[in-house]
Amino acid sequence: MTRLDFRPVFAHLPFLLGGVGVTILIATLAFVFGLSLAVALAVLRFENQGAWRRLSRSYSTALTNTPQLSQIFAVFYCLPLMGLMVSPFLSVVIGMTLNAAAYLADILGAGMARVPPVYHEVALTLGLNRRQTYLRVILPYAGRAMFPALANHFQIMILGSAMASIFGVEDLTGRAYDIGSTTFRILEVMLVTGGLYALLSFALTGVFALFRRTMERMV
Amino acid sequence: MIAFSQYDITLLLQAMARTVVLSLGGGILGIAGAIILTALRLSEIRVMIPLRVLAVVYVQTIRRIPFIVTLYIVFFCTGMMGLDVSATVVAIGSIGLIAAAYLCEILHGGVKTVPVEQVEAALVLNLPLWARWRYVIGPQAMSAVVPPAVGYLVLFIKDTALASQIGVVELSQAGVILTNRGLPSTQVFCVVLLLYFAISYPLTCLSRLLEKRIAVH
Repeated sequence: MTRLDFRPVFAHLPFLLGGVGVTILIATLAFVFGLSLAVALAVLRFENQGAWRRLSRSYSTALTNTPQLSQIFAVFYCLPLMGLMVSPFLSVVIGMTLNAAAYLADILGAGMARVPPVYHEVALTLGLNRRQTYLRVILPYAGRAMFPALANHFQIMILGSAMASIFGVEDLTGRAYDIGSTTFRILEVMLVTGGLYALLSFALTGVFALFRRTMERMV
Repeated sequence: MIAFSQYDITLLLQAMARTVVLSLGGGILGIAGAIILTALRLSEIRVMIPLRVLAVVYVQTIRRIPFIVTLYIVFFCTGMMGLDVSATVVAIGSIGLIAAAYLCEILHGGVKTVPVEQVEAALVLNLPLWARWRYVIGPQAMSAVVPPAVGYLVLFIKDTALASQIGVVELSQAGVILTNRGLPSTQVFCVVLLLYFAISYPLTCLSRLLEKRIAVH
C-alpha cells in the first residue's frame, strides 16, 4: 500500500477550512427557507380537513421517499427549461429547501398536535386572532417541543449539503475534491474532511445543548 | 410527449435493479454489522473493553460524516490498497458501514428498553445465552427495534443515489445519462423520482404499519 502523506493537505488547510463556512451557509439558508415553507405546510395541514390537508401530506410523502440528490438534479436540470438560469449554488439551496420543508413540516405537524387544547382556549379567551394565535402560542410551543428533532434535522442537512460538491459548489467536500485533484492526495484529503465534518457536528451538538438550556431558563 | 425508446427503458430498469441490489446488499451488511457492534457494546468481558470503546466511537463518529465522504474514503482506500473490487461492491460496503452504525444505535437502544429484572430472572432460571436472547430479550426488544429499523432502511435506499459519484450506474445516474442524451429532463426526472418512490414507499408504509401493530407507546 502507498504510504499516506498528509503534508500536501495541511498546506491547503486554510482553503479547506473556508469550505466549512460555505457548508454552514448552504445548510443554514436551506434550513431557514425550508422552515418557513414547512410552517406554511404544517398550518395548511392543521387548519384544513379535505384536499388542502391531503396536498400538504402528499408533498411530505413524495419528497421524503425520494433521494435528495435526485431532487436537486431535477431542480438543476428543470429550472433552466422554465427560463430560470440559476447558479449551481442556488439550485442546491432550492433543492435542499424543498426537501427540508417536507421533513420539517412533518416535525412541526407532530409538534402542533401536541399543543394542549387548553392553549387554544386561552388564546380564544384572550381575543387573539388566528395569526396571533399561531405566532405567539402554537408555533412557539411546537418549536420548543420539537427542538431536538429540528436540531437533529439541521445536523442531517449539514451532512446533506455535501451533495453540493456534485454540482460544482465549493463547499467543504467540493474544496476537498479540488485539493485532491491538484495534489493527488485524495484519500488523505477525504480523511481530514471526514474529521472536520465530525468536529463540526460535535460542535453543533454542544451549541444546540447550550441553546436549549438557555431557552429553558428563559421560559 | 416524447416516448422513451426501448434502450432507454432497459437502461432505467437495469439502473433500478442496481439501486435495489445496492439497498438490499447494504441493508443486509448493515444488519450483520449492527449485530456485531451491539454485541461488542453489550459485552461485559474485561478484555473486550477496548473493542467496546472502539464500537461506541465508531457509531458516534461515522454518523457525523456525510455519506459521500465515507464513500470516497472507502473508494480511494480500496484503490490505494490495490484491492480489485468493483464500484458496486465499494458502494454496498459503504452503505453497510453507515447502516451498521445507525442500526446499532436502534438495536442497542431497543435492548436497553428490556427491564433489568427480566434479564436477571432469566439468569436466575439458568437459561443458556441463546435462550435468554431467543425467549426473553429478543421478543421484548422487538417492538422498539423493528419499526424504526425498517424506517431507516428507506434512508439507505436514498443514500444509494450517491453511488453514482463513484461510477455506479444506478437510478439517479441513469436519469443524468438520459438527460445528457437529449431527452426532456422534466419527464426523465419525473420517471426517476417515481421509480425511487415505488421502491421506498412500500417500506415506509410497512414501517408505519409495524409501528401501529407492535411499537411501544
